Amino acid sequence: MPKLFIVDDEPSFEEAIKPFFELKGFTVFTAQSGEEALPKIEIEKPDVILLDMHLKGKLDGLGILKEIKEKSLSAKIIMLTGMENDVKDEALKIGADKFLTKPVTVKVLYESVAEVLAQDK
Amino acid sequence: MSMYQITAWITTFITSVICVITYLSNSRKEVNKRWFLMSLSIALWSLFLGFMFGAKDAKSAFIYSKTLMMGASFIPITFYHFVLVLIEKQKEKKQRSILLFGYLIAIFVFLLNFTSLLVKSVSYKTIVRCFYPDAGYLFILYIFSYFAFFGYGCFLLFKSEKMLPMFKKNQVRYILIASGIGSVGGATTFPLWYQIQIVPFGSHFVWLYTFAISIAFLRYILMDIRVVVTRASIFAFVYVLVLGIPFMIAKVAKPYLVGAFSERWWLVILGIGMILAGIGPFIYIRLKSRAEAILLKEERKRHQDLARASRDILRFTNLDALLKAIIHSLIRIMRIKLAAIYLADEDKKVYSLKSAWQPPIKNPDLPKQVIFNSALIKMLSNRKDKPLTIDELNFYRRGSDDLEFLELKQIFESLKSQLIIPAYRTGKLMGFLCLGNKYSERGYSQEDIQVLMVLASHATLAIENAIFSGQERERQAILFHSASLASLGTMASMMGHQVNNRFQAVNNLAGFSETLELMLDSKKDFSLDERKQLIEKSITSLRRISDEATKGGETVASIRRLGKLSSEEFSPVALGEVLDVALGVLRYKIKFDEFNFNMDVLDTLPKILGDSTQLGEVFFNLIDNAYDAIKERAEANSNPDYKVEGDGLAADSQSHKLEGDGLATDSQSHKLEGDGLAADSQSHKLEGDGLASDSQSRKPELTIKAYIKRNDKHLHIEVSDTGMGIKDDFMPKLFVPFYTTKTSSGKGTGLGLHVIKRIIEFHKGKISVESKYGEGTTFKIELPTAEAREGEKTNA
Repeated sequence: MPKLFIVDDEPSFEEAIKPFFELKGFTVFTAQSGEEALPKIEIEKPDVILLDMHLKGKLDGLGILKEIKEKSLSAKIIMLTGMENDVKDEALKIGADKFLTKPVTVKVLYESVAEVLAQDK
Repeated sequence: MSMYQITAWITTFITSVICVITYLSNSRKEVNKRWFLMSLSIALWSLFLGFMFGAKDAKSAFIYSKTLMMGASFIPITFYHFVLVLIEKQKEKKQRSILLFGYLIAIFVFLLNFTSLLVKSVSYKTIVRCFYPDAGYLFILYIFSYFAFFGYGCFLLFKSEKMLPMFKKNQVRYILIASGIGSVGGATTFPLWYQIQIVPFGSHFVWLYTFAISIAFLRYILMDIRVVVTRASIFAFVYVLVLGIPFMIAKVAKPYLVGAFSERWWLVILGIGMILAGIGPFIYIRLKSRAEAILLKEERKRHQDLARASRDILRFTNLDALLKAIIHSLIRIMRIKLAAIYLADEDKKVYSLKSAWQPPIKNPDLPKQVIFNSALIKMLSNRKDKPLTIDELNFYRRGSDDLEFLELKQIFESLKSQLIIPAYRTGKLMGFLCLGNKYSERGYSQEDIQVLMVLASHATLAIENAIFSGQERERQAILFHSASLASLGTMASMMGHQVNNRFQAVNNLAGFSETLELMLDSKKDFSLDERKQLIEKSITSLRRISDEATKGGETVASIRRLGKLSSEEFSPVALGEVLDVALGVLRYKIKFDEFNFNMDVLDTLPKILGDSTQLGEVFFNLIDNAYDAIKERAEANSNPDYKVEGDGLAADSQSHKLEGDGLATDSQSHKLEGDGLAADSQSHKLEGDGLASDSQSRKPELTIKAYIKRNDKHLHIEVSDTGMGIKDDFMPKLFVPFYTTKTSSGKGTGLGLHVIKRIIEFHKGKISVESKYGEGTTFKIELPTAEAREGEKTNA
């Protein structure tokens, strides 16, 4: 059972996305901020992380991305943002696997997750 | 050799030199030709006069006297002709007949020398100690022509003097006086012809007369004759005293002095003489200044007024106002009929009329442009900063068919001007001033022109300043606009982000459809309860979708408000609404749980007359800055090694480089815009409630407060934070354009305090800042209420 970790402060992610992915056979964890997410990620070691660029707290998406990479966690990371793509290159450079611009449908989210999971194999 | 011979030959020499100079200086000019002929006659006459005075026998004396009369025969008519040309009357019908008549007489007299009807003989006259001619029967004819032509000529000079322009007037005065004296002096030689025992002393001074007249008309600008006469008289007076007093003392007191000092008595006289000679010049100078002050009082006053006007115009920064002021000053002070200013248009290669006045006509009919290679511009360029008058052009005219002169004369006429003063700046002709005739019809004196040149150079400086200020303002306006737009861009971008989030939420909730689909596909059997749950969940999702859509709509509405880009449409705006807009945008970025946000803004506060978009921008930026400052401080406190970059307001060191761009303008605008900033940079306040040392355990504060003071029609607003504060060093530069440029999460540019200040000032308000580094900052804004601005309008 692949593990999916969603880091986004938008409550509808937990309400709506989580049930969907669970039906698809994922184990889903959520967190609303970087501070909350990082320790959990280290413990759970998810396969895919859905990471929003703008979060509460001190760390923003890029910061969290860096931290995850520094800890050499093996998760695939999909960045999610509502703004322009000018940090896209930076995110990809730091090591994000995919970069999506909101709004995206649940279907697209699912397909992206499947895509990055398939990358290693 | 007798005195007479010597002076006669001095006359010859000087007059011949004058002849040559006159001829060489401008041989094509009519007046020069006439003077040349007259000088020639005088030179010939005086040459043979000299020989005659030195003649050892009667026979040679007789021959010389005949030849001198040959020269002399033409003197009267050439003088008369010279005068006519000088006053430009030589073409008149009446005068032409007179001239013809005069020349005929001269020729006749000339021919008479071959007989003894003019010069009968010579005899030794003791009074002059040499041979001297005796008058023939027809000598009286010569005397008659002499007095007739000299007399009438002088009379014409006298009559014409009043109607001539200033410079010619002076000339004529000189010539009139010299001719009067000269002709009388010349006439002193006549009596002796008839054995009347009068010493012909006039002949000693003929050279003086020709010299004086030559100076008068060869030099273009002459000192006012009144000044010359005054100075000469005072000089004579002073030196008569200086020399006379010792002399008188010597004469009167000699016996006593000899008694007292024996042989050395003359030393006393010498001593007195030296003392007087020492103080003589000072007395001369003093008397001269006093006399001239009285003589030239009116002119001096005019010049003082002009000098004052020259200084005053330097304070204008608006080009149009400046040009009007220059023209008004000129017309008022110089009492002239017209003044106009032309300035160079670099790109169009012309000088355009920028301002003109011909009271009462505000837009006199003058050429709108003068091209770069017109005769006038060429002439002005050649002469550097020397002013040009039409008189001078006339003076240097090379004859009646001088094309350049005619072209220039036409230009002057089309410009309705008498005097043109060029304005030079860094070696280039920037423009020129045109001055018309004086109401008094008198011309421009040398002093007038000098003072006007000073005015012109001040005007040039002021004009350059005004143009530069104008360009500066334009540039600033452009910078301001792009900063505004950039800031709006950021705000719009943030709002766009918020809308996207709403849509994502909608998508997420709608994603329940995917979940339902999966469930249906699984073909599992659902119990009644399970079905009920699914329906309820659907209902919730749909409702939530609706909510998110509504929220999205609100955000769009604020974007729409932004869309009304700063038109200058002011309307009454409530501060509360403005802050709502700003906060609405910021709600996205700012985590309001990280600090204490205090808003003390009542709905009952009076409204401000303004542009809600611009004001929204102002508060958006101030609150954004405050938030960043708080974050900085929090960073600094949690990380002791963290160094605050720059001024505590800039998150990025690039701001210093940007400050360097256009530093000259920065300092200038700082001087121009100083209002309350200098005062504020000194004072620092402890922000909030003494969070200084205890920042780690206390939550930071961001406060927005608005209040009115009694009897003060202003709304006072304070935005304060307990953030990083601003270093003392950076306080003076705070409002300098683009000094503060920061990036917020790498997106867009902050408005910069300069632009904020411009907006506040545009709303007729004031902004100031107090800050203590490490503790916090407070921005204070004062804006007139809508009521107050209305009051202004009704009063105006």
